[in-house]
Amino acid sequence: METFTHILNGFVVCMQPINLWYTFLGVLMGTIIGVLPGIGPSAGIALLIPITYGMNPTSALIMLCGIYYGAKYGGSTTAILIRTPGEAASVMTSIDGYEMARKGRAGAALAVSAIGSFIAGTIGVIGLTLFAVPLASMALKFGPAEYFTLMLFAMTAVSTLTGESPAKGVIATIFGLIIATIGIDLQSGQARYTMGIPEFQDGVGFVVVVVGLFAMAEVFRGLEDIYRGTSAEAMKITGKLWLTKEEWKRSIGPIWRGGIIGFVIGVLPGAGGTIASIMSYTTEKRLSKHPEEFGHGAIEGVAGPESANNSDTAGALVPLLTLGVPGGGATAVMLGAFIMYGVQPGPLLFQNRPDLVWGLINSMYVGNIMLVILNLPLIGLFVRLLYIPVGILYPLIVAISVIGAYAINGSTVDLWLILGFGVVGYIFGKLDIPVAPLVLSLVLGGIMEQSFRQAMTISGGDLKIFYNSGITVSLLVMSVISIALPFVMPMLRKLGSKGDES
Amino acid sequence: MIRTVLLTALCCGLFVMAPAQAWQPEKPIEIVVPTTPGGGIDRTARLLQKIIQENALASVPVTVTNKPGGGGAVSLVYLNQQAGDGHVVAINSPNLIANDLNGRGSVKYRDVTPIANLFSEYTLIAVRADSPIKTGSDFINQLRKDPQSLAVSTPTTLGSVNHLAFALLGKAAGVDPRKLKAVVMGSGGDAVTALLGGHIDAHTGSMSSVVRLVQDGRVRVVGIFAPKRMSGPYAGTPTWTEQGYKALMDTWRGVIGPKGMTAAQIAWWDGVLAKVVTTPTWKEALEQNTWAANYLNSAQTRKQFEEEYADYRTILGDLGMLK
Repeated sequence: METFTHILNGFVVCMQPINLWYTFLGVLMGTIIGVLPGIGPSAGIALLIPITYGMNPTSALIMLCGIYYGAKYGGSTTAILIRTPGEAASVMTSIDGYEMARKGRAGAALAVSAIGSFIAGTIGVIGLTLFAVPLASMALKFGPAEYFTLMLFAMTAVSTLTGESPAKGVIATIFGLIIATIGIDLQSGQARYTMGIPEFQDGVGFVVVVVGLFAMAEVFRGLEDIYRGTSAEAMKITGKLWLTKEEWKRSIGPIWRGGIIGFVIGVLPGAGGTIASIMSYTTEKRLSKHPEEFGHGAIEGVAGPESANNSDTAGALVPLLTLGVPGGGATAVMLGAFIMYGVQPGPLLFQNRPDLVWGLINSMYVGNIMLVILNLPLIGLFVRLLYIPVGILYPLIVAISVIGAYAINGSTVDLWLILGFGVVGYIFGKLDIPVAPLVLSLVLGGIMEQSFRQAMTISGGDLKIFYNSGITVSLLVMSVISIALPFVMPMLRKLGSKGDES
Repeated sequence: MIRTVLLTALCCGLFVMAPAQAWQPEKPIEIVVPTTPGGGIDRTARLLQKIIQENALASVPVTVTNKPGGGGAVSLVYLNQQAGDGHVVAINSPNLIANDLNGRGSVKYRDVTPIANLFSEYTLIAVRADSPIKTGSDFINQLRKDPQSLAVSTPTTLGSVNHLAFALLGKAAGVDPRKLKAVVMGSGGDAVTALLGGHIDAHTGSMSSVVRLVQDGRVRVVGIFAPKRMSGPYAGTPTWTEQGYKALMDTWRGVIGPKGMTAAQIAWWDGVLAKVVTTPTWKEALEQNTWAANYLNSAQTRKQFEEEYADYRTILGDLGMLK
């Protein structure tokens, strides 16, 4: 009952005009940061912290948090329109979102992103409101062994991403794993495959790889079309800027599921929005009645991941607020901001500063409403990007990609990498090798290896640690089922149909 | 009247500038950060920038540049490209010394100019509140009985300050550091989560990494690698030295300049930074972040670097990690 009073009081706090203003400012800046590739929420929040010096801590945190979830809305825009994920977690959107745009359904893709983000974002905040404290203890049950099995399960999703040829999928997966090993190995302190380049010691940045594989490769393909004179089909928007009834019906399931997947993944430290959107994408592909459409403009492939990466932000606040433990880069920066204002996140925060914590959580309901209102009318404006002639559009893509990637580290090495991965993406396209498994193994490979070796150190080299807890066993079983399903299902179907005949 | 004021001002100006051709910055000061925005080092740099500007300690603007990469190697190369320039300094950490010993990066610690140590974050060993290990001697006795019986997190890499601290303690207790079970975790946050979840037995980390959990009573600190008793939330925690083990380790934050700085340039920085650490803003920040005041001027910092290099070398040798 007392908590209920605190929640209501939180609404009073977040509805104060000054806090509404900072919510608006935060989500607006977040959207802009999200649209720009490279500048993710972590760097965005870090760079804006100095502005908040001297502000009331509640207002300042409401604004910084607005930047965090606002960025997830913006990330989809460039992913859909120019195949450049504006934010790492939008990587899956640049597959089907861009294909939808090519088919003239850019408006629908943007609309479903905004609506999905809104619904899932709200699901996430409701989850945060209801389950913050109990969920924090669940997250603690995940140690190195549990993480390894979780990543193993996520990797089994590769089989659904491979397209027609499993062999080509394996090539892409292994390529991603190879890139993931570049850099200093934390467990031994040794540099691996750095080739004497100091920048490689920290590994190859995910955004750099993705921008190269998607955006630059797209430019190269476009150039080829111009050279061959086959680029006649300019992308004209034929359909409405809104969802058709059919599209709406197909999106609603992925939005709900994405919202829940995103929140759960968000609660687990270390996983983050990118993994959430990949998980949602593969889930939707598995559940879909027409999986062959994925990769060719399936609206589920936009609705699910975009929803998942929004509810993820609310999930990620669970360990931050209740344990004072950040689960990822952006929340680590937020933790720094909390400390700077003299506010200490942790179990006592809910007792000591209910006005602040509930004001902050409730401001996210308001912020999500602001974001959907802000983003929907802008769709018409964004879609006009597609009317830009290719002679202007392609240089624009190159410029946005290069600036975005350079903004992260200020490193020219990253620019060469973008070019290199652009070539790789172009060649992969020619050879019909899917890039999605590469992205997946790049994200998961590092965590998977480190957690495997941490678990091995803890157990003293005994593999028993991987089937010691209920969580690891269920994840292992799910992994086996996940791998076996594509082989078993056709057999079962065959058996079934034979049974019918006889 | 005005003329007198001007004249006085002029005289004072001349007077101040007279001794030993004192150096003054003529263009904006640049503080280089070896990490991306948002971390502890970045916050230190921005705090320094704020204090210098607010208190008008320099007559020129102060900017902060992030040059992440190569565990700091990229920033050092950048710094030394501006050899002899007193306007460019960098914030650094023990990585400077450790990377030198690990053979990472081309710039050695002797290639840069030590300017100051600003504060120290002492390392500590923490266990869960419900752990059977109640005190530092419980911890040591368990290790002596079986070094493999305790899984202890040492973020963020092998050979890091946390790893060296754990090894140093083992050695001081007569346990072979190579037999200790050091679990490398990607970040202090990951390690603390694993500690709370019971996946590891103890955590080696900075004072700030567990301060909230100590206050909440969820985590107990069994020993701090500090030379003297700390204050605030750690006032009740004995140091390892007090418990009879000679083990000191901290993550310091210092200021370094490029090679070839003149004595006058170094003297200017000594003057400014000595003032920075007396400001209320600085003291407040130290308290908020559980950073321990430990200002050292340029000469003392140079000495500290040399001692630290020798210490790290010994313990890395004991671990069999020396190249």
